[in-house]
Amino acid sequence: MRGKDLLEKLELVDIEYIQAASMPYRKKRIPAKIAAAIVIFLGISIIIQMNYKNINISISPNTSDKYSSLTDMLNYLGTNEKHDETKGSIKSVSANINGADEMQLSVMYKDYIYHFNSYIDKYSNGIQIFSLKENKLLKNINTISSQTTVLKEFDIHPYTSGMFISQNELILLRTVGQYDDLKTSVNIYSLDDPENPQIKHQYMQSGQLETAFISDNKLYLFTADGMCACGFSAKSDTDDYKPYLSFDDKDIKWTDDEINILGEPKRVFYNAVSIMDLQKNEISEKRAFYGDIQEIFFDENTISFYIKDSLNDFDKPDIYIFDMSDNFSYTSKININNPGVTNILDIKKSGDNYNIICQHYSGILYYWSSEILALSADIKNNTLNYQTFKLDNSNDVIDDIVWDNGNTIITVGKSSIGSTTAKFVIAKFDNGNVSFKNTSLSVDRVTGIDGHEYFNYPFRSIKSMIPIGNNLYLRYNRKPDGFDIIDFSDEPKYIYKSQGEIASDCRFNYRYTWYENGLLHTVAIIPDNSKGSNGKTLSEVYIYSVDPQSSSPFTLVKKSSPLKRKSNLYGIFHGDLTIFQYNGKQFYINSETDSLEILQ
Amino acid sequence: MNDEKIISLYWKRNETAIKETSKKYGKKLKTVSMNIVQNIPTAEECENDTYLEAWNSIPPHEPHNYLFAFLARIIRHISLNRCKEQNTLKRNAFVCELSNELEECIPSPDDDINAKIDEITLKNAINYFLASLNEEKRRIFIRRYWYMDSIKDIAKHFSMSESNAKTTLFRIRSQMKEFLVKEGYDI
Repeated sequence: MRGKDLLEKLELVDIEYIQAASMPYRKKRIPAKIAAAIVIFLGISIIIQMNYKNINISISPNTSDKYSSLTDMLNYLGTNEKHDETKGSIKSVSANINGADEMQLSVMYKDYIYHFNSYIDKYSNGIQIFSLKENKLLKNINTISSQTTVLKEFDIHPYTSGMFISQNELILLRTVGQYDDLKTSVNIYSLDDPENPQIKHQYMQSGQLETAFISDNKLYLFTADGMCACGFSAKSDTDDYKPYLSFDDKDIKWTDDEINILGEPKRVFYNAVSIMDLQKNEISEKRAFYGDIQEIFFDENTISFYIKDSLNDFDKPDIYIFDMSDNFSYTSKININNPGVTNILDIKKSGDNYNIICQHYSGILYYWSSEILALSADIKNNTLNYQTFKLDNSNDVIDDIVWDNGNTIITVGKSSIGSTTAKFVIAKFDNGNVSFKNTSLSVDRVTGIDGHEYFNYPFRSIKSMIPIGNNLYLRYNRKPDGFDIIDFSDEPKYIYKSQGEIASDCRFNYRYTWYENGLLHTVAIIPDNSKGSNGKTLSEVYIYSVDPQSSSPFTLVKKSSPLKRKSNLYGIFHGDLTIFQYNGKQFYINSETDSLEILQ
Repeated sequence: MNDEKIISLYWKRNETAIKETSKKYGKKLKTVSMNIVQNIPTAEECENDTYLEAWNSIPPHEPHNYLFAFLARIIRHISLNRCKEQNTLKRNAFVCELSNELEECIPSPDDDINAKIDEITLKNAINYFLASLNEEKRRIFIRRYWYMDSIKDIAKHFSMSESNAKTTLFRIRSQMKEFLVKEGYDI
């Protein structure tokens, strides 16, 4: 027998000894030593407390203390760059600004629907024009040249393309190119002859489409891109590291004043913003933000950048805030300098306060705990309040955050093995004061489309809570399948539990579920039981009227006939579900079959 | 949730049992595995395998008073096997260190002798020896060679200096060797 054999054979040790050794051991010691230990423990605790939650607001003239210019930054990164496989952000965000138009994949103009389809044929994509009058597809307009390909929905993330109608113009945005050279093109078509859109202007901006919206007849375009600054890949000219922008094939240069460096970037990565005046047909403003940008948050004329080294979880996050209404002037910086790992999840402006929800992890070795950190920063008066809420398990994750006036409903998913439950924690923000309320209601955890997409992490992918007014929310119930109605006016409580509105082997597609004017629009995915379907699914569009006071709140108003899916991939459409009203009928585009569908 | 309730969930074949086990003992089990496999993803796999093994073992087992020890024994076994499968046991410096230390306890270290000592005899010998130790020494020995704690952790756990912990372990190993010689394992 060797030592390693004995080490293995020690598993034969009496189980009582093993159990006893797992328990805390109390040793009789002289009181002085215990006292000394307590003093040391308290001392360490005080030091930890002093360091803990070291959050501050600072306003300085520069967004970076380390680099005074892009050249300065490139000189440093030339030998100190941190390499990252990701080029630019892979997140697309919805700006969700009040009064602003968000881009869609289907838009209506007069008697026509224009739909951007990623799959006009096997190799290309473009605009499809449907006639509402004739109820048919009129034509496909291929918008792709042989050198460019639009990124498909599942290649990167929805949506790398979208459309707007602005007065009598159709605006199409697409990210095109190959992975190492992405550009976002904006095509502006005249709809004087709606059946034959004519291109009037085109502008290109480097990077992948992050988001776009139209406000006050101005198109705001946000793209993200990155490049290497060291070794053989390094570019010779500083201008090559600035975003590319062209309008009707004329290059537009970026000045140094239009460049902001946020903190101390570890690599070259930027978000470029251009604002196009649709009345004057010119780029009225532009700005590029360089930094380790994790996320952008939009709110009432302000834009906040969440900065954190993507290769170092322990990096301390910063939030840089800019005023969009004042030429993107730098407003403030919030630094969260906690020990451990802090991830910023959401930011919402309320008056002068920025209310922020983070998840914070702390611990030693493998003993980690997790908590929700809610903080409210008044950047005008330079005051800040925060509270923490300890989560039951360090594996618990935030599934969803809903800002409901002063109450922020945080859905906490239990991510331990096989868990399908979630609970709510409510953060209350009241004029800069923060408090938490724990709740006991246990709800089903929302999983994604077909039950496997986004499993364990639906945050930002699926909005699990659908507000229907009066503090009431719809929420998916998995067993039996259907919707629950939950009242959040006080302690959250069910006012209706699903009775199995859809068959148990069906599933709602949360990406295309919304509530409007008393009607719930949703898509159900149902198994295709026809011969040879090979596990494929069909989908049906449902519209329910919702009366929360009734004992049967959901009444099916309209539904589509079952739609076959082309592929077995995620989602039912390679686009979004938009329902159009025309001559008292409701239409939507089924991009699987390239047809205009009427809801019965 | 207390152990009784968790075990009753296993007996009722309620899958919540696994969730509750993970909630209560997940971190401790992962640490036991980490000490052996030295790799977080593998330790997590071992942890999951442990839950499956527990699910298959309870019933018939009813580890009412020693649920953690029961799970820890499973994860230790799985983790050592995982290292053997991946042939990483010999490359694991910490396991080597512990093996060398334990070799000092064996009267005549020899690969071939393994077959001559059957498991029941060895089990009795080890347990008799442990019973002969005082509680503190027994715990120190088990923490070091069963839970595979580092000297630093043992020193911390038992409120002693690291050199004190090393000396104590050296003495226990010498005692064990003497015990085994006395019991006739000096083959």
